[in-house]
Amino acid sequence: MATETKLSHTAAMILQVVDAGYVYGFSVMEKTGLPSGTVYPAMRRLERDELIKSNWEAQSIADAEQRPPRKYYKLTRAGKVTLEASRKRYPLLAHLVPAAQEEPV
Amino acid sequence: MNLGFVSIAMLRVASIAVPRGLRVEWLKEWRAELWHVRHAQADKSLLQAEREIGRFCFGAFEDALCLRRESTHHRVPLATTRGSARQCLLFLAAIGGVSVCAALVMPGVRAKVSEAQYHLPQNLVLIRNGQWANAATPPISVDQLLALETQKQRYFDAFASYRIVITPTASRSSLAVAHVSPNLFELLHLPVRFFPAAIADDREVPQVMLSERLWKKQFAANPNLTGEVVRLGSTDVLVAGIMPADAWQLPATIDAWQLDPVGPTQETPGVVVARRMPSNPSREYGELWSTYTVDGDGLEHYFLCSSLVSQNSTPLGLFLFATFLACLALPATTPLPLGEYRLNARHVSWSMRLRRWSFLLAKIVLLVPIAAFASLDLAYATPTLHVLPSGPAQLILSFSLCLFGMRWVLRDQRQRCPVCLGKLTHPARVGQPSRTFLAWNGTELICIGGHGLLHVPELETSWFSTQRWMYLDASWDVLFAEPASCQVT
Repeated sequence: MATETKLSHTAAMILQVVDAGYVYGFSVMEKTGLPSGTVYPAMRRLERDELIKSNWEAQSIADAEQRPPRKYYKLTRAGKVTLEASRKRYPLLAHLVPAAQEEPV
Repeated sequence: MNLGFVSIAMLRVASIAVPRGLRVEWLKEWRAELWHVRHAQADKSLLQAEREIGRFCFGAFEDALCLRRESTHHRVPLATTRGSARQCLLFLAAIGGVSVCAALVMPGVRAKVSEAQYHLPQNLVLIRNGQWANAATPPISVDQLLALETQKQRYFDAFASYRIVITPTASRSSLAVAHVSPNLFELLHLPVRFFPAAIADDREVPQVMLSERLWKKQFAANPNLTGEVVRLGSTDVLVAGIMPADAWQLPATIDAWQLDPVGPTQETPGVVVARRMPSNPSREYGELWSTYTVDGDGLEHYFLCSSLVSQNSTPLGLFLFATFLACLALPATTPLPLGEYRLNARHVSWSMRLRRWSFLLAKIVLLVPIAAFASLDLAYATPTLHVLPSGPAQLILSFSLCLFGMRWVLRDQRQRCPVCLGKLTHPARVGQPSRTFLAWNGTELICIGGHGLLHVPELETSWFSTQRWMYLDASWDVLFAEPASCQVT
């Protein structure tokens, strides 16, 4: 749906961070420096607009590491298109979060 | 010191604001994130770590409130087009208001409503002469009354009587004067009393109670008439008071009530009212039963006893009875289901269902005063025009209004969009009757807000017995004037 969606700078930054491989809420907070009261609602709006989608980590993986399972986020196809448009709109976005990380999803 | 329970409690409190359907997953995610936050603060001092954790948990409140706002924004507004739910309720309220105002203004209706405040006691019985059963008020002679009062098996503990005497007046009209026993008014619980004998005897004239109608017509509603001696017909009488309009609920229209210490005589038999004893076995017989007594000469006297309350149904009682009958008749005249759309996999949210049922309930609630007051207005406004007496007319009108009103309420509900409660429009015939067994044929209606289509079968079949609702998705929005922000889960 949202191929023409114009994101705010905060939402675009979160999208960029998720694309860079910081795929759960707390890591997005740490990377962007935004408070939890900003990051989580923004991620819910992005998910509502189908720019990102979430899925729960398998319980067995979490059990093996003796921690609760996490909810991971990843960009959808529409999210990638929107992020490309946002990068043109906010040229410094790529410099804020330069390197893509690989984390297990 | 571990303050983990505080942060968990904060998350639980915040979760109250989250819509119920999302709450469990929301709390699970925040607790998982909290674990990682706490894990990341392991190398910091306790105070610094708890401050960071607290700051993180405060964000949960913002997130929860955000979710709450999102869910309320998705609430579909009611339709605002012609025939919307609001217009429907306003229309019903207006009709109800007009009915109530008419009842307050029309004298006939006001009189009937005010009459209802004079309740006859439950245990009063009108005793008729069994040999005159076909007459409206068969008179009882003095011998029969004495036989009743002295019978061995006691059914009644008090008797009162009245006899009607037509008195000619100076003008061409005549007066109906009821000669009543001293205890009649007390037995009927009427709010009037004659003067004590000591006062009345001084004047040496009989004392009368004037009807309100006669008091206004013949005495110009003179407020100082009580205690005065006036001429009534060919006799002078002492006016003891004015009987309020509608207070007298026994058979016959009376102009004046004259105190008659003698009671019924052989020449002028009267009507007897008796009070049933609480232990009276005749209570089990219902509203009408017969009895007999044997006098000293061995003569048998037969009587018909009928409860006075049954002869004086109040407007409320008639309306409730008519409503009960209409509820019984309703399933025979129209299908009761509202067209629940079982075959559709998608469902409207519980709040929309609640709104839809509330709308139905509001219509029924507004229908009740409309039926009650409109039937009163029509039945009692101009009784002289009616073929039927006012009581049966009110019963029939109440029944008709309730029955057809409820039919309309159900039919209207079936033809409304379950999402926005707008009236479905643009009926279109679909299919052919000759192809019923190959495809459905019937009427298709559409919600002007674009929420869906209603298919009503022409003939009920085993595969298409009730109407079906087909939801339209957002891709249809461009076709409709009103945006259909359909919240269908």
